[in-house]
Amino acid sequence: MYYSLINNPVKKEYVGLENYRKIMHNTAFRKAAENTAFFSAVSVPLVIILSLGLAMLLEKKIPGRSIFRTFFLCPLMVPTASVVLVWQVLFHSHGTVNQVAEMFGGEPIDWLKSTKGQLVIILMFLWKNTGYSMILFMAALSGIPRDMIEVAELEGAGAWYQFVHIKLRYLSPTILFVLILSLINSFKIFREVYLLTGNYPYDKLYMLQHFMNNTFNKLDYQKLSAAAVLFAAVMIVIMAVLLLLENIFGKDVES
Amino acid sequence: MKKLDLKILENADLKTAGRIAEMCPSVDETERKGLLRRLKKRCGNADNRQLSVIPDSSDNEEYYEYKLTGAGNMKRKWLKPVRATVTALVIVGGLAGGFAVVKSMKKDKPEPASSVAESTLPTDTNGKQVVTIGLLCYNPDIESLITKYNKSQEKYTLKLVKYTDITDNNNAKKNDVNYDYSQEKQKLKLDIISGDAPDIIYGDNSFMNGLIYLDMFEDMYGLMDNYNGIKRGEILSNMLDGFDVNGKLPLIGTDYRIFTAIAKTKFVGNDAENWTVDRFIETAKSIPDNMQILKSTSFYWQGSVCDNCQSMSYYAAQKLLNDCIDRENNTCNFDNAALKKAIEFALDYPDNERHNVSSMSVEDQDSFFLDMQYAMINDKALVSGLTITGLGAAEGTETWGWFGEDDMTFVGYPSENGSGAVTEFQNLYGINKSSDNKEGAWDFLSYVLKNSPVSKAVLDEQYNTRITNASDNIYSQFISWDKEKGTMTNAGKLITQKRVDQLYNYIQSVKVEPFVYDDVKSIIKEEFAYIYNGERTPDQCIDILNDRVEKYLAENE
Repeated sequence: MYYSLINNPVKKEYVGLENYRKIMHNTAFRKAAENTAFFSAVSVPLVIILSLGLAMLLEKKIPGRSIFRTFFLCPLMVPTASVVLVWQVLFHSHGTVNQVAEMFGGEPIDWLKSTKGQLVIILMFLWKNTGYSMILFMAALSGIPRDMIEVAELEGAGAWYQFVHIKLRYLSPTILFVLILSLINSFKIFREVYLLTGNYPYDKLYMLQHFMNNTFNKLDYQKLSAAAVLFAAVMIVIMAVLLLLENIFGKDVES
Repeated sequence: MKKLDLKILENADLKTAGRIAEMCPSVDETERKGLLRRLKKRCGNADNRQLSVIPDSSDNEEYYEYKLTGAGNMKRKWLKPVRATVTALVIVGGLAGGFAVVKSMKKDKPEPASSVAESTLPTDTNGKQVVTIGLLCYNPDIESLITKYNKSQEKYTLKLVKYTDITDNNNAKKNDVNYDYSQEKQKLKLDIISGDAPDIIYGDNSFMNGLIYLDMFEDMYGLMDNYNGIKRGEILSNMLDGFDVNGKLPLIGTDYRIFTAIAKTKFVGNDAENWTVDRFIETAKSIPDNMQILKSTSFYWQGSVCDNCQSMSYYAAQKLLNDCIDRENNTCNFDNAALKKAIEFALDYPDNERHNVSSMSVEDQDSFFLDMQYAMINDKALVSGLTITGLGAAEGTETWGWFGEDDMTFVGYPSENGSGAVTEFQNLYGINKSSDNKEGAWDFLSYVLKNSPVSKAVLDEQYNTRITNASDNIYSQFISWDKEKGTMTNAGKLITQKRVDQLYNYIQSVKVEPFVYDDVKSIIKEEFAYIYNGERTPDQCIDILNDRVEKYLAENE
């Protein structure tokens, strides 16, 4: 906070909100914020939908259930650096994905140096985070009172009605928790993107953390601090809104 | 005048001092108020305090004791005695009072600021003022220069702050070409943040120019004008212009390397100096059959090729790439017709020379390199690279004296702005703005600059040495090459005066662009590799370059 209000770390002269004004007009910051917001807005709902769907699927008594559970949890156990190497092999301009595409007559795509790069990181995010969220949802699903479901079945409620009016209501605290966790994780995608494409990636892959990391390296603490304070403020507002919503809509379920 | 144990608060910048000089004889009350407001700001900026200044002039400087009290209006007393010759203002004192020392152009005596400051500045056991210099990399030359400087004078002693643990040339880190001194830079950054940075910092170009925006370096123009030592006119003007950042001189380098290219005038014509891409391509297409364009050790690329598309694009595009970046406005535009033309020409260029040197015998290697070395003299190559580090020396095997007697033209690297040379300074010096002993720091830097290739006196001395004495420098290395026998002999002839003049003028006329950006360089290198590998078209590459470099520059906005 202090560094965001001074002119630079050497002179340390108070400049008020000048750094905030500058950063709001900085094209690199705006680009990074835009990309990060888009990435979070797409990947967080996707990870919730996907993990909830998988949790509901694995809740059923299907063969090989425990194998699937382990399979989805595997990405959590693999170190990021080694995973990134695999993703590079897959999505390089001469990588496996393009080779397969070419086999079927498709055109190769420059995944990491085009706007399609965002798709790669969304996939990577889903791959990495779905398993953990799925486990959380499975635990929450097992906590839903069986008698409520049985009564609903007896009264002729269909699967969709049960899902929307019973399961989803009981899952709302977990959804909120997964939402917050995924949101935080989505802001942390920098590590993977940095290892995939370096300090200055192409267009849509330039995230807020790139901006912060680069300004830190340049000792540009005033820009870094102003960006970090703004970022924290946005996060606090989002969390507050989510907790407020949960408070309003989840009250009857908790009681 | 009572001398207090005071601390120098701040040296007024020269612009302020300049304004004082202009405004003092005038009666413009608004300007005077502005000056006083700035002065009061330095002295505490309290509304209930008034600045009062009592003149106490000596013959060389004018001293003004100031007091910050709640009453009194001493503006006239402060302003009137100051003459139009003022060059600097030094405030020595604290919130309650102290001295304002006004320095005048006409005086040469040691500044009173330093005599007052002597009591607070750190000294060694011999009573010499200690000035610190931070060295990021291992550099025995600087170390020996420091030793020499310390022996040469009485007032200061330079203390080395080593940020690297490399102590000898055989150190593994030193010999690792990829070692980027990042740990050392990190240590220095921490010192900067904590306010413990040395008085002088000497580090690699990219790192140092990245610190300019922090405003942590003293403007050396001010030091030149106010302290003894080297003056503006004693440094090559094109070098000084190159280091000028918005009218200030935060950094300076001493050892330049000018990368350029020369060609025989009979092949390129009389008006081909600093040629354009069109002119280069036109000439390249009309060369005799037995001649290549770039058969030269300067364009010897990655250990195996010297005249293929990679070396061609290095030659044809590198200056144009530099010119696509507007460092002043932090923008770039690689979508440039000349650049595209240069890349396309390079890509169409056949792989004339691809040799696996490492698999050759020692004799074949010698022959290979000799052939390349003399290609231009033998009219087998159109262009040859030339690296200039001064008038007395040119780096590498293709030294200026080896090019035979034919007239030469500095064609340079193809460019659109009439400046075909690429300049490089590996390391730069900067004086810490928060240093307590800027005068001492400047004294050392003056000493270094005076003896460096950027000094006009050094260049002139080299020029005059040539006239009177052909020692064992480049001028006596004029080689005569027997084309029929294929042998060379050192004829011991002096290089022609015409050629010396040509080089002398060239050094002083090149447009110096000293600041390099390692991140941008590595982005360009990375993206160009895709073109050579045929993975991207020039247009795609230009689009990506624009996007990535733009982000780098935008961060500095």
